[in-house]
Amino acid sequence: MEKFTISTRAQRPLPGTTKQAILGVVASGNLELLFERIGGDAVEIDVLTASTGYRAVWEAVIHDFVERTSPGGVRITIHDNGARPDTVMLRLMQGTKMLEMPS
Amino acid sequence: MISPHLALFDLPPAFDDGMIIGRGTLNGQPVAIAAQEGQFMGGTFAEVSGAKLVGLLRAAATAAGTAQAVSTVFLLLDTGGVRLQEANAGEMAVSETVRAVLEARSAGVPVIALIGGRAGAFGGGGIVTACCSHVIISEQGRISISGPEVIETNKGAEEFDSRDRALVWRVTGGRSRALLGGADSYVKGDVASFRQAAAITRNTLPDFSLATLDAEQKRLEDRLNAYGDCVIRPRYGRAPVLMLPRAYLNSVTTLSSLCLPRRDTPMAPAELLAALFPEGHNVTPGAENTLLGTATVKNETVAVLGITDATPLSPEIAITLAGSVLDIIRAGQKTPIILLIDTASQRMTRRDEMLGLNEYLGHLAKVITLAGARGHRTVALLYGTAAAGAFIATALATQTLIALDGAHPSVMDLPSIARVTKLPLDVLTEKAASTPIFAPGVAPLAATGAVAEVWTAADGPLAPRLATVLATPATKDTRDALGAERGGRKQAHDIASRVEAAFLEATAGEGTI
Repeated sequence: MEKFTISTRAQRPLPGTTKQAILGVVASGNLELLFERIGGDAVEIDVLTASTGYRAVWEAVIHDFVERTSPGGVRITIHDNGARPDTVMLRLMQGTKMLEMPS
Repeated sequence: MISPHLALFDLPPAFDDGMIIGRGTLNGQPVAIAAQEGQFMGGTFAEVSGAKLVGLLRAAATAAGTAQAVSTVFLLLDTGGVRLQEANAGEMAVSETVRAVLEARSAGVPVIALIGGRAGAFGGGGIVTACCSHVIISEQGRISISGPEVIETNKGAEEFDSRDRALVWRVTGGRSRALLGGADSYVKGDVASFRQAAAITRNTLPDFSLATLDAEQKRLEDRLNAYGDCVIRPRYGRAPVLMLPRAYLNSVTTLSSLCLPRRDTPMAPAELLAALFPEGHNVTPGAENTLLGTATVKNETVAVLGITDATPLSPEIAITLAGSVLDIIRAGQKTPIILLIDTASQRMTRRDEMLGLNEYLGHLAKVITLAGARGHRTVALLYGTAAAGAFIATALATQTLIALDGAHPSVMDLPSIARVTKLPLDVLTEKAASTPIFAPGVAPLAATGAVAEVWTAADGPLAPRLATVLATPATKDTRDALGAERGGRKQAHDIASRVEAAFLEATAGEGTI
């Protein structure tokens, strides 16, 4: 198991008013994410993953995600059980959409 | 609330520990709901997930008759049973859930199980299901105690070929359960059908009473008489496999008796009876390695029941013991009941699971719990082994569990846990030294609150100690508080209490299902 935090900045704050969202499941090849608004344009992602040694892949996926959606002011906590990068990206986009929807 | 124990095994936790609980409304009626996530850790009973469920059920019982009351509790179970990484806490969670389900039912709140997930209701989940007022199942749903893989691992593919999906569903699946009486409603596998069945059944359910359990005793006895010598075809085209004679079934070695080394030789039943009842007893061996009789403690008569010789718990033993307990309740004397336990785990055969072993074990647990609720002091003395479902249905169903010299309670032995968790045995043994949460034996189970007292011969004669226990009135289920006090189960009591308090504060009708 490996645990790390990836901190970065987005170009703009994420629109919408929903304060938090939880999605996914810690099943094999899947992951669970908790989205919380912290304000500003910072993006903080705490990753706890069952697979060790993939930090570089996580960083690549997360930077790609931040560039595509600009989720400023959001903290994301992830419990991962061996999800593939495409699943991770799908879940990240899904959570962002949930926050953007009117509460 | 995440599990504090998974990090020890290098496993990621889940925010809700695989259990979602809450309040809602169904057709305008306030209800309580617990839903288990079958994909997280196989949908397991563990310290945190179990405490959430127990807290919800206790709250439903407490709220009965108040403004916070709910009309029904729905359990959406999807589980492989106890989470082996926290086996002792999980075993206690199942036992406490059983008691809390029956407490809610006693308070007039029906508890309905809905089984339609991929994981089914296995292990302790099967026993919990059998304790509910009503079971709704779909074709895909399954109910059983020992899973097909477990039986195959122990007895070989000839006993139960777990890869034969059709056979697995014929033995454990929703249709078989509904036909045999192990489930009450058979529905299509979609949410709307479950919802509809849940809405129409909840006001027509049997209460938790002597009359209900008498009827249950008869129903299960009749089933055993009618189908006890059943024949199951493993697959179309193959020759039928005839059920083996009962004598063979009793001699079959199970996982537990194979792998649970008996640390000390347990006392012989005769010796134990003499030590416990110096004032005299007439306890004699009954059928299927059971004990039955009465004894005198401080000039008062007590009823004694037992299992000897580490015999795996079969439908026959469960129904025999349950029948005896019902007779004692019916006599109306509030006679204290003492259970002397030396069993293995539940018997692992395809035949027993086909017949609904979960119902027989659930029935035994219900009957023992009913005796306690009707003023009988119930005490279990564990003098040998007890494991898994058999432990829940016997010793853990009593108000007070005492471990004697030679006792070796367990959920599963370390070699089997090692196999399931894919950890080397030496690593597991090392971890077991650092926490009582999963290791077998008296000390870890006492730390989690399962065992109230440990009596060793060196501390003096047993009889006066038994008299003291019998003279002490039983309290409600406080084993989680005991586990917190002893440090073996630090969170369960706190979580269950917080859930109960939050539930009783919340206003009705927040959200719908």
